[in-house]
Amino acid sequence: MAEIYTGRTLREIVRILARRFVGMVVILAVALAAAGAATYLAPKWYRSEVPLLARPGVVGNPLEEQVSLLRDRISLFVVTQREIITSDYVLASAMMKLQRQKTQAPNTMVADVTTWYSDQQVREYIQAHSKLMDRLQKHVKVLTPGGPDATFTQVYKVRVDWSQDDDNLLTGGGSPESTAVRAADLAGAVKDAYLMRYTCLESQRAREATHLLRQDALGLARANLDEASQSLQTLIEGDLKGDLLQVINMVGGKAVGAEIGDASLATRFRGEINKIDERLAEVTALKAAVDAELAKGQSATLVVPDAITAANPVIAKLQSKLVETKLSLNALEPRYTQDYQELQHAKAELAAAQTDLLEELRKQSGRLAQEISVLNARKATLSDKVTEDRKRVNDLASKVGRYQRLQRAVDSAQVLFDQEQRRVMDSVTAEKLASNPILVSALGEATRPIPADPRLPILWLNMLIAGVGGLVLSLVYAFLADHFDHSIKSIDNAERYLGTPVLASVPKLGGTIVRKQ
Amino acid sequence: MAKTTDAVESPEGAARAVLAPKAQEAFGSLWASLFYSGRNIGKSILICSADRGEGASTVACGLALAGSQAGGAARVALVDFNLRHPSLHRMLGANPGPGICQVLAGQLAPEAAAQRINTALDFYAAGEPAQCGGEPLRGPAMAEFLGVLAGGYDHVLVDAPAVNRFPDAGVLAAIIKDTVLVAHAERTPREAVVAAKKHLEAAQAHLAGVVLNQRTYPIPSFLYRRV
Repeated sequence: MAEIYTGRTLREIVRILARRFVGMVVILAVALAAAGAATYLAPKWYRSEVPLLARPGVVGNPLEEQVSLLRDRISLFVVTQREIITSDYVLASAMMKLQRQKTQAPNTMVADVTTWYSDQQVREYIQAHSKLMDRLQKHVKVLTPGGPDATFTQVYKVRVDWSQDDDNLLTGGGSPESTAVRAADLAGAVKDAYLMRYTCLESQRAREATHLLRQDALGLARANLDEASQSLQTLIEGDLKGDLLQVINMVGGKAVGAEIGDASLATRFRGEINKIDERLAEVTALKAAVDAELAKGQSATLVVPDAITAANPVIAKLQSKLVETKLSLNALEPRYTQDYQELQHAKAELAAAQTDLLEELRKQSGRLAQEISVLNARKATLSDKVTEDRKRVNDLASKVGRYQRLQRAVDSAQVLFDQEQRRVMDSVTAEKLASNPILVSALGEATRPIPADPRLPILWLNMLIAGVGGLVLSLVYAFLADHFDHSIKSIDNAERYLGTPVLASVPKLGGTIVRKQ
Repeated sequence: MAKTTDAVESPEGAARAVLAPKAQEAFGSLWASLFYSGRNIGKSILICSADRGEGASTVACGLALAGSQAGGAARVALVDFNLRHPSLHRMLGANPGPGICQVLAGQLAPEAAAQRINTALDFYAAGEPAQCGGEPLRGPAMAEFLGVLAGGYDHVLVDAPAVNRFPDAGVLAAIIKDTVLVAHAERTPREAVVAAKKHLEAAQAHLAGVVLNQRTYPIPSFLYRRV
């Protein structure tokens, strides 16, 4: 008995579904009802479209290969227009126009350059209404046909989908009529704003092209550059001839400064001059002392400066001999009379020695004078040298300055010339484009949606989605619930889990089981 | 407690209790499955469930009525050993006492406790457990009483308290051996039934089988035949 129940997977599945049938139906019904309600309660929205035409400004007799080129250009152009139309700038200016239209008397507004707002105003408006801008970005679309049917001209559409919710955001409460009107107004305003923006951009580009195309600016830059490099060349060939390497080193910051620097030069010679000065003072003093002694004459005893005694051995010998003679004279004098020969002799010797010393001092004085003149001469030579070097350094510095100035002039002239050249090249392209512009015009007014006929979400599609979703959800519910329900649901179940035979099943019996008779 | 809609205290068994026709059919087949299918089952059968409210008493009552009306030849005793929550007397419209409590306490002879429901069915009520005091299931009196019953009847059906709640069923199962486990289909978790089975097996009982009570058939019959 048990065998026939095992492995009946299909029956098991049907049982699971049948057991939770009510729950499944409820889930499905709730899903469908929710979808239906959401669809029904969705805000009404209206669609307005403005067709725009893009065509090349010049269609002559295009050659065969130019045809596809032209077609590509138009296609590409139309695609790029999407960016302009859905830009914050265009949307904001459309919005501003619409709002002003509302405050002023209707139908007096004429799309005119003078009535548009300044860039500054538009930018402020964008900043102040970022939420509105987001919403507009979502609702304004550009439809481009493209495809193989595209010809020289292409029609593309600006589409505005405007719902009552959006209208509420703008005005705080709107009727279907006002929403429908607003959709059309908005489409028209976006169209106007776009055309204005396009014209503005296009004319700006054309203006730039013609402005830049004047090539005398380039010529002037060229002449400036030539002149600057010429003068630099002259400087190099003329004044800098010998010092060019040094100047370049200095300009380049690799100066061999120690050799030519003014300060170092001065210190190098300064020490020497100081030494000469010292020596000069010393010698002059000595000479003065010697001269003073000489002026005293033979009568007085001569005082020889120590420096001279040390420097001159002859004087030293004479002086010691003088002292010796004087000593012997002193020893002889008390013993002998004046006339004593020996005394006479000593006196004569003393006198001779003194004369010799005098003579020698005189010679020394002459030598000192000579040294002074030599020292003076050397000092003069050194001073001359310092002066000369300083002059040379100054000269070099001024040359470097001139070189740098000219170099800078050449560099800036080069930069200017490059800029000018680039601009000319740009302008050539710009001119090419400007000579063959793409013209954009509106093919008609914005379509006016009928207030009584809003665009609604597709009910059957939403219901279908909800139905499928609800079915899946209910299946998930049924199987999950069965999985977590551990009760014994069937004989099959009981035998699988308990391993005990099922004697019988007592069905759920309504009413009383036991009756009283 | 399962079906107690007829909880009328009938005086002195004035009204005779009979099964509703559908119930007669269901319990008749259960009776047949138990006793006429060649199962190795003795005279006494313990009817219990894993937990309260699964309908063990109802099944015992229905089975007793169905068995007693089937042929009329066999004598059937229905013993309410569910001392915790006695309910059989209410279903049958019998007196709640005196009953087996008094018998086990030695205050009453076994024959004196019997209440005749119909010609073939005697009902032994639980009595007043509060009055007996102590543990009536302990002691040799119970085994003796059950022996007397087995001697006096062809079939003895014993209703026992919930297996997973009270140890009474285990004590009874150790004596009676043959056990039927009633499970409320779609409510009793299979884990509870498995636990009850383990309890009974620990008491050396012989589990004759499971009865699925209150079972529903969610698949409509036309579909059931096809799948």
